[in-house]
Amino acid sequence: MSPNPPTEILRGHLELILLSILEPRAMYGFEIAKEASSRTEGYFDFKEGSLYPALHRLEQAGWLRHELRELGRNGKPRKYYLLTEEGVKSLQRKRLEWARLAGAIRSVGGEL
Amino acid sequence: MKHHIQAFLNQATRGLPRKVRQDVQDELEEHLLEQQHKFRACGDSELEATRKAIAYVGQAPQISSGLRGVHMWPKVYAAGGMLAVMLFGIGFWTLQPASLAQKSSLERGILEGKVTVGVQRFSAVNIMGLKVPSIWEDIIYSDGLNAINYLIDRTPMPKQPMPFILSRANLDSKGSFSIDLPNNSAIDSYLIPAKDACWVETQCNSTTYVSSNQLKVAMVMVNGIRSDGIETLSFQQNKVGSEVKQKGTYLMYANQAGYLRRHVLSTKTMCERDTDLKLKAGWNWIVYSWVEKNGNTQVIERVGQGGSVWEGYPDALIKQMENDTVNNQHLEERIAQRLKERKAREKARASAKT
Repeated sequence: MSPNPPTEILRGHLELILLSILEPRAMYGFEIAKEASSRTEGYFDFKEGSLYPALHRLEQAGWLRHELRELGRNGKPRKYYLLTEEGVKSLQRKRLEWARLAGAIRSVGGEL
Repeated sequence: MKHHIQAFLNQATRGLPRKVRQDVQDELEEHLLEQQHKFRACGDSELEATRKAIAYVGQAPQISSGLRGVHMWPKVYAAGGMLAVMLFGIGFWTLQPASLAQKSSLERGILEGKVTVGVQRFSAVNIMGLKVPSIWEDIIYSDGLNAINYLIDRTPMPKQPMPFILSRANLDSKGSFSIDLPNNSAIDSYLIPAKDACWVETQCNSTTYVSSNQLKVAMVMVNGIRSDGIETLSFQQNKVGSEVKQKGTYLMYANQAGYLRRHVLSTKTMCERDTDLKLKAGWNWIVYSWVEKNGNTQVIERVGQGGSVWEGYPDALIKQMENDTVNNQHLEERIAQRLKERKAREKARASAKT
């Protein structure tokens, strides 16, 4: 799937994307990027420096927390991100918002 | 390849608080190494894989900017009025004509009262600085580091350059720092590890006098990245409000013992000079920026004591300085004297530590 989405679209939905990816299990940064790319056949490709600022922002917002787990290639513990309870609620809210938006766009004749 | 990655990490985390910076570097490093491994598995050489991994992860300034937005700005906003007070109280230096009180202006270093300088965008200042009396403004931030900010002084500049220095005090052990420039500002700041500080001024073989009518709005940033004898030098030329990144030849203006020198730098000449300049990973050289005389000049208003509004040198003084500069009188002695003083200070600091 290509090309990649415009930056502003990606940015606008970054939270939903990241929370969705992390919903099933904890992942570390590289894994998240890989998972996003793999699930969308390369459409979401986090290479714009947006991934880590977004993860940190979500963590500061209390939607994510992190755990240090096994050692990575740099010999330091990998930082896994997990959804908090607040994050789960936010994900639900964002999904609902997205569904409403999608419905509204459909209703005015837009294809989704 | 490690130095390439480290250089990228330094750049991508520039300006973050030390603790956060290390954590983020670890995280990004892991990402890069994973990415590198992926490319290696596809048959790329280590160097190629590293390059691709760095390119793939994204642009370092963008990452840095995003991370600072998360980790820095909330704190800056929270600091609110207090920060503003500190900005004006501690981080300002103003310039006075040399004939009046140039040295005392430099040594005072603290401007009391409110200062309004046109449109401003301040982030932080040298709020942790401990002043060391010298002809240069030496601010000691932490062990082994000096942030040296000094005014472009005694130089026949346009009538209204910005007579103050503002630097953002996001320092770390790698010696990187960043500055948010107000519009049309005049800045001349260096961050140099105290133990091996080496001034550009001592390395100048050629000097070109720049007369005031040649001055333009420009800032040259030289980012030196050097590690283990392998060097990559990148040059960034900033115009106020915009940024252009490209390799090439730029002019660097340095204030040397009160004289304005113009150096033509290029990748080649910088490489030839790099031993002298002692560029290291993550170093930034913010060389200067000022306003064109007939361009957008800065309106400076000062209320309070301890500072001054620089309204330009008297014509006679300009003439005198021009002659002085052209004749290059006593420059070597002054430089030697300053270096001697610097060494003495460093020695004193070292012995104080022990």
